[in-house]
Amino acid sequence: MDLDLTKDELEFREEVRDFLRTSLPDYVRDGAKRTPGVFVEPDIGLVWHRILNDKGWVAYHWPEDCGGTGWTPMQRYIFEKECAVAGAPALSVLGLRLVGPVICAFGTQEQKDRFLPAIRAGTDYWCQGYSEPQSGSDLASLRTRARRDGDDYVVDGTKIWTTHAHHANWIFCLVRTDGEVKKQAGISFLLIPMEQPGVTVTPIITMAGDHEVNQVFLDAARTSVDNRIGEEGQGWTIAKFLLENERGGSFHAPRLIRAIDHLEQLAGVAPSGHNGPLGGDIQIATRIAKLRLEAEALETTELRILADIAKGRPAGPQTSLVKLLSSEIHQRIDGLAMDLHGYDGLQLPTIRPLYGNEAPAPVGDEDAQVAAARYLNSRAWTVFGGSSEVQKNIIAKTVLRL
Amino acid sequence: MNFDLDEGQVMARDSIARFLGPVDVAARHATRRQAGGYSRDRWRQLADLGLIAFAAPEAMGGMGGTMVDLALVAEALGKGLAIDPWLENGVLPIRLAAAAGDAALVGELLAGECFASVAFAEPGRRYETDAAGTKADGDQVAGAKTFVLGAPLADTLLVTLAGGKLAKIASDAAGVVRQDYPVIDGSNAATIDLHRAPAEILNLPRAAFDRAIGDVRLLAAAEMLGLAQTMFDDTLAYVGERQQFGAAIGSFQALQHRLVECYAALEQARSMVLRTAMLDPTTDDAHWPRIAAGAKAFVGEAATKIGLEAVQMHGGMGQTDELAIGHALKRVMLLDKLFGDQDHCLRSYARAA
Repeated sequence: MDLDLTKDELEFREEVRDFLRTSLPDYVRDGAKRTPGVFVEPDIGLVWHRILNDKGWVAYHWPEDCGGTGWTPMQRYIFEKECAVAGAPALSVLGLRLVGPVICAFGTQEQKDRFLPAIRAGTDYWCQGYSEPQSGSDLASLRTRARRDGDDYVVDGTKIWTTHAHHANWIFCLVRTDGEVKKQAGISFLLIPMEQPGVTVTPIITMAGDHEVNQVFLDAARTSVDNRIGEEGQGWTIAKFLLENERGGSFHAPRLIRAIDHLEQLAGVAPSGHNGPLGGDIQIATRIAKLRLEAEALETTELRILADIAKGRPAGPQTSLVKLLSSEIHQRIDGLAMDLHGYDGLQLPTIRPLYGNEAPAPVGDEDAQVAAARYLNSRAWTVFGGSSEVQKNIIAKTVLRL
Repeated sequence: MNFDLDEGQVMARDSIARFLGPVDVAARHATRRQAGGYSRDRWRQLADLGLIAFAAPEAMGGMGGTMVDLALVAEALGKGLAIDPWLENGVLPIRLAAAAGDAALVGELLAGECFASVAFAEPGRRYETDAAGTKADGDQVAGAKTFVLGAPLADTLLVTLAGGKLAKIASDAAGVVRQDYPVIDGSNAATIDLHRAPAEILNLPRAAFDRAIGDVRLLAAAEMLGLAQTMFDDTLAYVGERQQFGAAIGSFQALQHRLVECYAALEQARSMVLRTAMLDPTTDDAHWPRIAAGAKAFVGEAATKIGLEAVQMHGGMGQTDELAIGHALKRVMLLDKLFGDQDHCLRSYARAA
């Protein structure tokens, strides 16, 4: 039992570090740092996306015959850790991590040829039509209906919490194609072009004042039958495959540990107001210490799961455990950041973005400017991709067999 | 990177499981009723298994186990709810004897011939591990010690002294005044007053002592991990069997979600123990006690939570002294404070980070 990297892995790590040193633009790193949302806006994200694609690394987790890199799980981990340490932005998961792997696994050759290159190139931008106003945690109760009309489906209904729908030209949707069978069995997985009269996007402004999510209205929206992934009625199987990728597709701990390092540095210089730096206060120091222990344990938990995957064992419900733990650590980090910034943490600029020439001047430390927005946005961690309560239901059923 | 056990580790784990057998609460009560709360015969059996030798360096006749090896032993002992004071009367004395260069004592200890207790804690100094008020004058020692685990059974007392010394004192020597008392896991401890007690004085450099404290902190965490696993397993089985309101109580979401929280805490605790043990070879000795302190605080919190939930979910039966979970919880409570409680260890870790 050891944590050692092999010679090849160490060489790979050097290659990744060199690449990040030479290829990650400062303004992209700065934009990532000053983005309160879960992932960056396309103005920053697509820049990094295309740099990665030029290197052949943007879809590193896809199967090789779909344009993946053929990396081992350990190489993926090294890559993600180095990206986190370097402050590279978290890219939109919607194309690369959600619909991409679905098309790789369930798509026809024609669908792969049509959609995968455009995801890798960043020319198609995707959003996800899963939740509906009346179907949140109970996703299988969804009501958006699709009926056949010749070689098309005609889709009616509405999708909500649709991240970056206002940037997207495609939406992948769970729709009901059969109302007569058990609710899971009547669901199909459709790809629908956004640029058509039947699709309307309405912004939803979150507590932080961010426009990340939307409601999407589908009124006789049309898509070709060729844009159905899998068979009619196979949508729920695909949905579960996708959700496992959403929950467990990437490593969380490296970014969390980096954020804690950052808080610790901040506490080391931020004045306590009475006697030395804030980090000298034992209450603050032990809060940071507890978070660090939790995040370091999570890193090892992720590595244990990785070791299983490397041996060909399925990760399965373990992804729910990581989702549960990482979401809570995220929120605790953002809570501690708010506390470290004191009054300055309460500023909540109404202008976006908070990077670039138009950004407002921060009050106090520049990190303080995003602290409140990030804290508020980060409430979503325990809701999206299946709420913490849903993850607990899954673990209770599939791991604990209750 | 690899998380697999090697052949020797699997053998050690399996032989410990065979030695301990299924938890027998009646037998535990009987052992605790014996003088000193434990059996020297059983201690020799433990030594015959090689479990004490595991913790001693090869150069002194031991088996030179790595921290991963030792953590797995501690975990297996916890999982089987061992009544044996392997950590406090096996690992700790042998580590200190080895650090002080007393090969003869190491040999007696690893064979199980000599049973030693380490007197490190001092009244009024809470969890500070270094000695302040116990001092040697020539080859005589004066001072006061408390919470000396296993003292009623000990042949030899290893007494930490101010100024980087360790005194080896026969427990029946003149000037040793011992007050025995039972502690929470059913074992016995003592307060010890030393009035010019005759001793052999060994050098025990502060750094070597701190290193040993780091080792036993991590192993306390590993034993708590095993105990937590057992408490969790027992509880999971119980909620599947216990019927109320016409259903197994494990079908109720209020309990399911809390059990998932316990499961998550358990997996995180396991990760912490393994990670810390694996970090040992690349961690410098000065940093080690604090890393181990962090691990112990983290695992202590998890094991305590799991233990209290186990008792709660077992309802009325959980309040009795007849279930393994209660015995496991009491051992966790001892280990959680041994070599520093969560607050103390977290402070130590925070200063190091």
